[in-house]
Amino acid sequence: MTESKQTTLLALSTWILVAFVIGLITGWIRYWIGYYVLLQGIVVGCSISWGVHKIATKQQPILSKAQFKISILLFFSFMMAQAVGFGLAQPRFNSLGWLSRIWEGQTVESVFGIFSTGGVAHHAFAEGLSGGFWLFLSLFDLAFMFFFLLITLPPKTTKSTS
Amino acid sequence: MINLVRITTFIVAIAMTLFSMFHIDANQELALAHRAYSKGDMDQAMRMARRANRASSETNKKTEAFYLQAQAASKLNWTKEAKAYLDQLLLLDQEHTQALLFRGELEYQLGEHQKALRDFDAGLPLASESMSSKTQAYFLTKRGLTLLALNQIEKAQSDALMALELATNLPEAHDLMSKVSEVKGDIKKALDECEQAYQLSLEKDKRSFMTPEGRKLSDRLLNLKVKYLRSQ
Repeated sequence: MTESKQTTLLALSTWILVAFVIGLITGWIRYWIGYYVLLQGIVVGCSISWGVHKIATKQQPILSKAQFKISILLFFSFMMAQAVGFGLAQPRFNSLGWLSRIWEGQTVESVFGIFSTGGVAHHAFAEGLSGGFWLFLSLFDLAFMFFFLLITLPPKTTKSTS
Repeated sequence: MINLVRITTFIVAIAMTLFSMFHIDANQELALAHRAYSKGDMDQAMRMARRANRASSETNKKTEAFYLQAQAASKLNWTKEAKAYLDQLLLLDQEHTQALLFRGELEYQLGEHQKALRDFDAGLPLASESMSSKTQAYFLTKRGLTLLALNQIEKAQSDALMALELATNLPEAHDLMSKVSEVKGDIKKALDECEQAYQLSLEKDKRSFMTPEGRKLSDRLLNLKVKYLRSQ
């Protein structure tokens, strides 16, 4: 293996680690405190790319070239870590069981964000969500996160002065 | 000046958001945990009870939260975790009758019969002052089952008789008496008691035969019938 490949792989591993750590923290917060739909997606998407930029001082061209592939890799690393975070926050490591119970309506997930603004909507959602609407909001938030990750990942281009 | 106002507003907004996120009102959380438990949402009941537990420093609040956590964990079939919560509770209050008896029941389920017997022996004398006769009878049957598992048949029979005296219509008491009779070789009595236990559990809940306990009971009834017919 050439030295440049080794350096790239090492950099990639540290980026994955960044996504993983953020995922763990997010999973823990989501279980213990609640799910901030949209806000979580935006904060997480931007935080991962901020962390990656802090580390990738010499790998900026790779970020530009393989932006989409790296985004997907970081996205799935985050997802896995978030599931681990759910598991670690619970008394028994049972993250998939917990998610399936929410989907089946046996339990709810505390959801905040746009619904915490007050009024009827707040009361309707204050006790949490489950089932199809919960899944829709989760996917909506994940889409936001991926979008923010994708647009903030490439390095800034300097404007050329004419 | 305007920049200072902007920065101050931003910092105050962040501080308020963080405070609202991390501040936990133990009383409110505990009330929500009880509500979630009564609605059958064990995950939320446990989560909120754990939050209340962390936020509170009062012993009575903590014991209440630990007990609720144990109940919810047990309903999720997380027996070891439920027992661990009761261990923590009993460190705070060693004479918590419900916790002692509940831990005994969990230890019986985990096959830790000696420990279960110790907890039942500690809890049952206290239960006579604070619990209804039906609840006492229920835990007497649990101790009887533990004694049976420890091969102390006479003591198990004595518990079965006491339980039946306290609550004649308790299916668990008849089931214990049936098991004791079977061990003693009295298959006819074992069958009669088992039939009574089955009928009483059906009277209590018509769908009880669909539960795991109900299925066990109907299987036992069938086995006893076969055993009885063979013995004739």
